[in-house]
Amino acid sequence: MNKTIDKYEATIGLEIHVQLGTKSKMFCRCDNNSDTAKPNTNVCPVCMGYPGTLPVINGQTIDWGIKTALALGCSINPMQRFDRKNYFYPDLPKGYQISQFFYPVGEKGNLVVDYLGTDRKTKHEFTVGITRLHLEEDAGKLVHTSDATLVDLNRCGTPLAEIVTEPDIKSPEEARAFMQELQCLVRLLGVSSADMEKGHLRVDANVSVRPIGQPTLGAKVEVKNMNSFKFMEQALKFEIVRQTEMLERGEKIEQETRGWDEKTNSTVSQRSKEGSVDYRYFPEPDLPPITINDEQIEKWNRSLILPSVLRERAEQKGLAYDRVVELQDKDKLVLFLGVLHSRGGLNPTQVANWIEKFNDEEKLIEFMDVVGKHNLSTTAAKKYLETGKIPETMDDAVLREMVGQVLDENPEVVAKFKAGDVKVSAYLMGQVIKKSGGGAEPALVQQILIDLLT
Amino acid sequence: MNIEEAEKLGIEQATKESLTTIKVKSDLNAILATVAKPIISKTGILNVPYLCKDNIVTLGTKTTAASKILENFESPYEATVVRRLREAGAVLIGKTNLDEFAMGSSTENSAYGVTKNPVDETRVPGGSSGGSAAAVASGMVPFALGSDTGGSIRQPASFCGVVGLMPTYGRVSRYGLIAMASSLDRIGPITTCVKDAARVLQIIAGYDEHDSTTVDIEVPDYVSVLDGDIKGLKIGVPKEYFGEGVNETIVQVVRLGIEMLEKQGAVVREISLPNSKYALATYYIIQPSEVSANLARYDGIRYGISAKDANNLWEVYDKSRAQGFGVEVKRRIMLGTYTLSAGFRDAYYDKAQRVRTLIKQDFDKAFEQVDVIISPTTPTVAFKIGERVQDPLSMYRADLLTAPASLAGLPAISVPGGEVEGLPVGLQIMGRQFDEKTILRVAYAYEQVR
Repeated sequence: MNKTIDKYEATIGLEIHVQLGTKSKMFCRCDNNSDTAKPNTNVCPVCMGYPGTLPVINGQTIDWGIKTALALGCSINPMQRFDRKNYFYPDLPKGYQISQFFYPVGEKGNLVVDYLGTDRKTKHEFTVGITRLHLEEDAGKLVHTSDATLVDLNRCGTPLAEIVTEPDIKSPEEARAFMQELQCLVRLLGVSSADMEKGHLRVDANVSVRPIGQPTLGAKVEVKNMNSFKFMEQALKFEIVRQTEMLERGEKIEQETRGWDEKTNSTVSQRSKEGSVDYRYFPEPDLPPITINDEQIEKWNRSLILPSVLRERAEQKGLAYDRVVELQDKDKLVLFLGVLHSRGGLNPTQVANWIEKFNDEEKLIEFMDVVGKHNLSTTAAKKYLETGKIPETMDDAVLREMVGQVLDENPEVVAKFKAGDVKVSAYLMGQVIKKSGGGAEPALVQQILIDLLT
Repeated sequence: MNIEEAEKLGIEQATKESLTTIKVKSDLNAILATVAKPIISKTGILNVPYLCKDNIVTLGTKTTAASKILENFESPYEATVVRRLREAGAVLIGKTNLDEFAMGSSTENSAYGVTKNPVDETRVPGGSSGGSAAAVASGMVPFALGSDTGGSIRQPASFCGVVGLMPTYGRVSRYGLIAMASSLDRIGPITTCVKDAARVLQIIAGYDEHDSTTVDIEVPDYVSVLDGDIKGLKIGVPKEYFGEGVNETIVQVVRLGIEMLEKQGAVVREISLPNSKYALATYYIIQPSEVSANLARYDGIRYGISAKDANNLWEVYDKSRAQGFGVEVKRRIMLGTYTLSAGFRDAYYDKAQRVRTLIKQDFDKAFEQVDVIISPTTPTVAFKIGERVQDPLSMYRADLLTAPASLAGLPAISVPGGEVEGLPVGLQIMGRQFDEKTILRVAYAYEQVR
């Protein structure tokens, strides 16, 4: 199989919806958070599309859309205007969706993504072009029961940022890395909780496969219903293998939409494209265009904090890339940089080792100071963390006796050391510190060990 | 009955008389619903009864837009204009008939029957605010609210011999007006005299946080400026509005009216609005385009009638809309769907928008030279009931002289200007954006000398 795959390459483009976590909805004042609300309780005449109602833009959605577009390197349209996208569906109360078709918030950006390889050491890097980012309102939800289909309009009017990428992604791993980077980015910007399982971050993929060297792209298949990073990666892997095998058999790939089925671990055909739908876009007459000045854009641009910049800073502080990624995954990167910024001279790796136990910069610094000042071993530091008391250090004589005991208990190791294998002293040191219950000061133990061994 | 007379009667007596007149004149079919128990207020600056076109949502009554699809619809909220009037002491006593969803020029397109012109009951009252115009003309109420998209306040006012004011786009909130064509729709008063139009506008005008297209600028005192003289005021007479397709006797009546204003010291100047001849065509592309989107919400899912005999979702849509909408509404939805569709949008909708800009530029240029522009309101007087229903194009032609100001977003008022063979003729006075003050002043001056 691998050999076969080597003859082909995959091309993936993504269409992503990010649910913006504004306080109220996009065009009315209903609560934007309906995660736990009963159906049709977070609604008003405006978001239910009652006759005579008019949309009023929530300015924060435009601000957040622009910030996100800037973070994705897009150029911003100075005129923010909305358009109507016309289609009928029971979850769409007005019969049209207010979206941006002619003038998206931003266009022509790109995102450089770096990620840790499967070996958990290597840093990979690739760039994905961003075609556009535009804002639109979400539709409601259909709930199918055994004898009816019910409509829940709570989600109607929730602001979404739709992000469309260029087909620059070459593998499921890259797709996952891109999505994780995007999730990190919108969380850092504070515009979305970007929880895939909750539908706050949704992704569809266009996947095609072609023989390496073929200049044109293969027929693209749209893959939907990928509700987690894991499912996305599985679905894309499955789809690439499926298409590759079809090509190998000389079959033609049909342009279609397929959905990931987590029960069968495969993609299933949903519908084939019968020409494109005509949405009859035209400018939304109820919302006058808004002009964004360059100054404002510049201001936002300057204040942007990007995850890649944070990672780079952490690396510059001397932390290994895999540890940087680890901290980012644990959402500790900002705290890490804050601590190193506030207190010079700390060992970045040691800070990284302890950071998981802390949420507060001051407390972590205080802790690192105590560890440094008393030269606490890991065990002693742990004890300190648990009890809040600094374990008493052993006096010289007691420690000497303890070292002597350890040497007596480990004659083979001592022999090795004496034969020139000095590395084994670390083992002996570990044993002493263990015996001391963490109270022994490593530097002192080291000294005594050398004294007694030489 | 004008506002002052109603005020003299007192709100209780005025309301009683209004309800009686409505009953007596029920054969006009101007009223779709009356408020069972009108909320009488004795305070406020406009303490009189009024009627509201049934495409403006109100509490305590149904709001049908004269469509079958909304035959049982009760709005959960009220329109901003209705709230403002209520707060000013005005008492809503009922809803008036109209062409379904305000689509028409004769009130013959109502799902609830034709309204008759009180001047001549064999004739139409005009439309789409025909119910409001007939109600005011027959003395049911001192004023009624109408809506104007291409002429729907001014034309029926002209046909029924009353005053109809279309304010500047953005002057009066549209929140609660059931949308026909959102970039053109406006709410305005129909009254028996100019002063009453000024008084109602005073209350309904102004910025509304629920309508982003309203403009947050000062609302001047419209009443106090009415009797200012018009010496030196420049009147533009657009030659294109007095030519082909316009009844010659109407032209004479309007020219006579302009002479009267000239005698009071106004300066009259012939001007040209060359692109106004494209207004009707432009209007009948932009308006149906917006209609096709605005009426998509009537799908039988949430409110309004829903077909009972549907077997699947698409049948719910097809049958509900087929049963609920009348012929003219369907025609415009189809027209608009076509003019916005891929491959045709460039040639129709986009081009119409460019022509709309040209029409507006003509007005901008003209208003560098003149303060108001005067023309006939309509090319003909009220026509016979049934005369044009089979011929949509001749019906559309009723908007010939009113569509340009609609497209340009300008304010315009129609005032009674005399008669042709016993039927009222309207004089249309158009003004600069947000300069309702001046058109009201000119209309008032004309009313005094006519």
